[in-house]
Amino acid sequence: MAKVNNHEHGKELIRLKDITKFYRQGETTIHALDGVDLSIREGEFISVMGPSGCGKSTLMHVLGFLARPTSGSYHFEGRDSSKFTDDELAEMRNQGIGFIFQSFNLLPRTSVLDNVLLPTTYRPKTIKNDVEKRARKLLDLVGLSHRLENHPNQLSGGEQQRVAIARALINSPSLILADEPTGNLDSKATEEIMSILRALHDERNTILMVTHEAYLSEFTERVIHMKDGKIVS
Amino acid sequence: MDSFQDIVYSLKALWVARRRAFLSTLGIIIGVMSVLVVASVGLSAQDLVLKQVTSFGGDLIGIIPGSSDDEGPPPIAYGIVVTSLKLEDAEALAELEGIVAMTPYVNSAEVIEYGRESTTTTVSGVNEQTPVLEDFEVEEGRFFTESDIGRHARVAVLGPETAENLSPHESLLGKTIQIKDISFQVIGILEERGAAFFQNQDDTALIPVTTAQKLIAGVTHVNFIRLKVAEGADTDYLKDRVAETLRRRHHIKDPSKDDFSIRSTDQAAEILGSVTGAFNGFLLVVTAISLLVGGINIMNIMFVSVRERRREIGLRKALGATNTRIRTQFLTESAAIALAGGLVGATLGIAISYVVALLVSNAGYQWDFFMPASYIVLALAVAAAIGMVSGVSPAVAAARLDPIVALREE
Repeated sequence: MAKVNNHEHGKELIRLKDITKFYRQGETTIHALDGVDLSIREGEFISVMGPSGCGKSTLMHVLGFLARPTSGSYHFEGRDSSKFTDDELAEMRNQGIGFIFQSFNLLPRTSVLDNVLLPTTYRPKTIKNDVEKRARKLLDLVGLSHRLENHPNQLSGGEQQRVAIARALINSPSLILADEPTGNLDSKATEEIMSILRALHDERNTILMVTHEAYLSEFTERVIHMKDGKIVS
Repeated sequence: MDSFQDIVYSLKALWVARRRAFLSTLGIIIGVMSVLVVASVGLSAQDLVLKQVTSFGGDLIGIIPGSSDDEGPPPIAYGIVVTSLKLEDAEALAELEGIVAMTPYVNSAEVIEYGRESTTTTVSGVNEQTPVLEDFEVEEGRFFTESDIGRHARVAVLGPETAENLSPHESLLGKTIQIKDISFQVIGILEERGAAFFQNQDDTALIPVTTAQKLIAGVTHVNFIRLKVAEGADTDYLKDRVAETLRRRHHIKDPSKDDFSIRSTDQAAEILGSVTGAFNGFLLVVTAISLLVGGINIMNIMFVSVRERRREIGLRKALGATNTRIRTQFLTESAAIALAGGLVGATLGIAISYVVALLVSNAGYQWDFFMPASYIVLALAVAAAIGMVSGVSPAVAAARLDPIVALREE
């Protein structure tokens, strides 16, 4: 598998400053994130590594607007996210972020094409373009143009994850968040997915991938190691 | 477009779980069905009752002996015979302007014989205006005339059923029958009329009122008097004139001491209409409770559905669905279940009401089929509304799900 290409990076996309996230669990408080500072520039391909419970999932949830930080500031494309309403957070998840999950999370009994189109049904009404054409193009890009009408249960794991990647890209997000995207895949499918992510990186997409496989982090430009809710290197 | 896709997805989800969707909507099906059947049968029954009262066509004024207030029953209802109404009273009332026909009635139950056959029926002493008043025709022969009444003629006009009972095979026209062992000549047979005022009008014998008083009942009073009001005349005004006339004739100064009571069919129709209407309303409320139970059923199933689809809800939120959209999706789904159930229920309800109408009218009643479109639309709207309402708390529960927790579910 070819190593990652390093590109010139654009302006700053994300700035986290002293982010904390506490959960109360009974009597004890869990410090899932404990003073995280992070800056991500456009076009970067970053992997986040660390033992389970280190806070990498929580970091991803905060970056993906699925959870609000307890304290600290999070600027996305220069905007302060602490002032976002719930509906604005939903719009950020829809327009700003493309999620790729470990377990694919495709809608069952729904065609590949409709799965890719799902995020477009939640777009603000003002945006109008030919979403179906774009969906077909993206599915062609991930090599599934012959599977448009199939249902997810007729696809292999690797194929399902490729559908999920096309879905993540449909609204042209600023940041792609991949949560152990190859965790449920065999080595051949892993290679397919990684080469697609690398190709996306080559097209100047910004990607943050959580993984615990050290060899996968070698395909990224920057590796962030976390421990006990802090970035250690 | 977006909400259309939501609906399509909701319908797909329902189709996959169609067995469960059917079970959950069974309550609504039964509810809508019974509401429509009760409403339709109720309307038909009300119509049947009102037809009985108005079957003589036009407004009738009835005068019965004995006083009573407007709401209470007359003494005759308690078996008390009051003899204050006379034939002369009836004749005086016939003179009033706006009255097109007047008939005095002298009724008694008697045995009628013809050869070896005999039957018991109501023998009514009436006058020559009865066909106009009761709106019927003589099928065979003729009705009696004023002169028959004047000379206490022993002639009779029989109802078709009575004639059939006495002589199944040959016409009784011109034959002699015995009423209370007195010979009467049959001069006419009536057409078939069915029931009116809840009495069989085909099993009867009509004889001149004078003959009935003198030879059969042996009385000098009449049981009651009926007046037919001219088209367009003011019935209430006429009732007052009737009361004035009778008070003058009976030398009554204080209306509270009246020895007669006056009723009219419009009044009876109104009372019957409101009574049957209230009864129908009561039945509708009772059956509508089954719709409520159906709604609770849907709420249960929707909670199960939300529970089972937590991952899907989490995913949709992660992909940008707002809480409002998630709520709308589940509300759409429960409304769709209820509406589908409502449609099935309405179809069944219409079919059952129609079959009931066919069966009852085949049994010989003047039973018409009623199914106003407004009832169907209302029943469907109520079903959909109940679906929405029962979907609210499951939908709110779905919208409140934390996407992180929901996505972690296996």
